[in-house]
Amino acid sequence: MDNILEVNGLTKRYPAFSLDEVSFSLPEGCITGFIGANGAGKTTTIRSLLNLAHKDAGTIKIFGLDAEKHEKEIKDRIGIVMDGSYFYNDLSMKDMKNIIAPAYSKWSDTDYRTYMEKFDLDPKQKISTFSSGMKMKYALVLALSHQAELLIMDEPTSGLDPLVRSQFLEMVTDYMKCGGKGVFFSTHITSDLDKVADMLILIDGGKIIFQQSKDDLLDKFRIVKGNTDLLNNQSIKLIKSLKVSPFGFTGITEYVSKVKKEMPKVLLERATIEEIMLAYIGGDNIDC
Amino acid sequence: MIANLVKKDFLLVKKTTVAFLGISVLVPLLATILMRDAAQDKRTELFIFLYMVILVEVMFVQAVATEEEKSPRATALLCAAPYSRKSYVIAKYICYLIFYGTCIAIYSIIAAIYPGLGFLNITEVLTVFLVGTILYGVYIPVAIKYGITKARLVFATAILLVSLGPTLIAKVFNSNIDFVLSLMRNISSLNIPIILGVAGVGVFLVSMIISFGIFEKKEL
Repeated sequence: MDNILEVNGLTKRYPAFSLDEVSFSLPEGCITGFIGANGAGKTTTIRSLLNLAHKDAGTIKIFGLDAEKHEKEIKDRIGIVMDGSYFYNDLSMKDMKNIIAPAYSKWSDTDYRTYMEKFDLDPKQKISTFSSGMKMKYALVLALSHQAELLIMDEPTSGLDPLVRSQFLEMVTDYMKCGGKGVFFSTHITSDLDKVADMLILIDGGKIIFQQSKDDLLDKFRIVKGNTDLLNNQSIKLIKSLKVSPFGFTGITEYVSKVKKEMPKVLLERATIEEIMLAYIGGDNIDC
Repeated sequence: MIANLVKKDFLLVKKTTVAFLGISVLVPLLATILMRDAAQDKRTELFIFLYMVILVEVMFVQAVATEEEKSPRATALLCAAPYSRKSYVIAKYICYLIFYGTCIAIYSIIAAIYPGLGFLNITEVLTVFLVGTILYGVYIPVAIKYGITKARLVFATAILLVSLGPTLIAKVFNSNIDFVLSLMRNISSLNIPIILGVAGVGVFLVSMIISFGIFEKKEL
C-alpha cells in the first residue's frame, strides 16, 4: 500500500512547546485518527502539514511530492476541515464559497449544491447565524466539493452534538467509499474513531507515541480487573494505569497472555481507544 | 485567483460601500467650500483630492481590517486552500489601486458637474498617488507584521493630519506654495510627472516586496 502522506523528523519549536522529530505516514485508502490530549501537538502538526506554521526541520511528502516545493498542486488535491472559526462570519455561505471555490481547479458546483441540499444548508444564510454543527457541515461541504483526494480535518467533531457527529462521520465514510484516497482526522473524542478509523496515531507532548492499525491495537490491549491480592511485584509490571481501591484493582495491559499466566483469576475485557490512549499518556499507577 | 481575493475584501465591506461613495462625493464638495478662502487663486485641487484619497483609503482599509479582525483565522483557511501567500498580499495592493482609480473617476465626474472644482492634472494625480502610496505602503507591512491594532497608529497619525482640516493644510502650504510652484516650473513639465510616477511606483513595489517577505514568514 502506498503512503499518501509521509512525515519525517518534523520539528517545530515554540517557546513553550515543541514538536519533536515527529514521523508518521498515512497509507492510501485509510481513515487515520490522530489522537492526543489538548495541547499534545495535533493542531501544530496539521498547521505544519499545510505550511501555515513553518517547520524548523523535517520533511513532509504528500502524494509523493515535497509539500514545500509543490504546495499549490498539493493543496489543490486536499480538502481541509478546520473548526468553524476559520470563516468570515459576516459573509453568507454563497459569498464564502465564491471566495474559496475559484482557488480549486476541480471545483464542482454540482457537488457543492448536492452536499448543501444533503446537509440542509441555505446558501444565502449568514455564517454568523450558524450553530457550530452547521459551520462544521459547511466546512465539510467546501472540502468535498473539489474532488479532494485527501481530507485533513482538525478536531472536526469537537463541540458537535451526537446526531451531527454521527452525520459527519457518515459523510467521511461515504467519501472514502466514493474514491477518497485518505482521511487524516485529529481528535480528542476517541469514540468517533471507534466507528470510522482504520489507523491510529497517538501524539503526546509533541512526540509520536505510536502508529498502529486500530484493529491490531484493540486486539492487543485488555482491561484487567481483579482482587488486590492478585497483585504482586511481578504482575504489577504488566499493568498500566493501575487503579487500586479497597474493592479491587483495574488497569490495562498489552501483555494479555502473561497476565493470564500470572493472574489466572483476573477479568479481561476489551479496551476502548480512549482507555488505551489514557494508558499511554496518563498511565501512572494510582492507589485510591 | 488574485481577482477573487480582491473581491473578498470588497465583499467584506460591501455594507459600507455606500458610505465610501458618499464620503468620496462629499469630501471634494465640502473641501472646495472650506478651502476657498484659504487658497484664493491657487489650485486647491491637489489638497482636495489628497484629502479625498486619504479619507477613503483610511476608511476602506480600516473597514476591511475590522472585518478580518472579527475572523482572524479566515486568512489561514485561504492559505490552506491553493491561494499562495503572495497572491494574498498582491490582492491587498490591487485593492488600493482600485480605490485610487475610483477616487480619480469620482473626482473627475464631480469636477465636470460642479463648476467650483477644477479638473486634476497629471502632476496632481501622481503627487497624491505618491502620498497615498507612502501611507498605504507603510500601513500594510506594519499590519501584517504587528497586527491591525498597532497598524492603526499609522492611520491615526494620518487621520490627525487630515483632521487639521483643509484650511490649516492650505495655510501650511500657502506660505511655500509659490516656492513649490516655481520649483515645479523650473523642472521640465515633463520631468515632474515622471519623477512622481516613478517614485510612486517605486514605493508601491518596495512596500509590496517587504510585505511578501513578512507574510511569507508569518505563522497563520
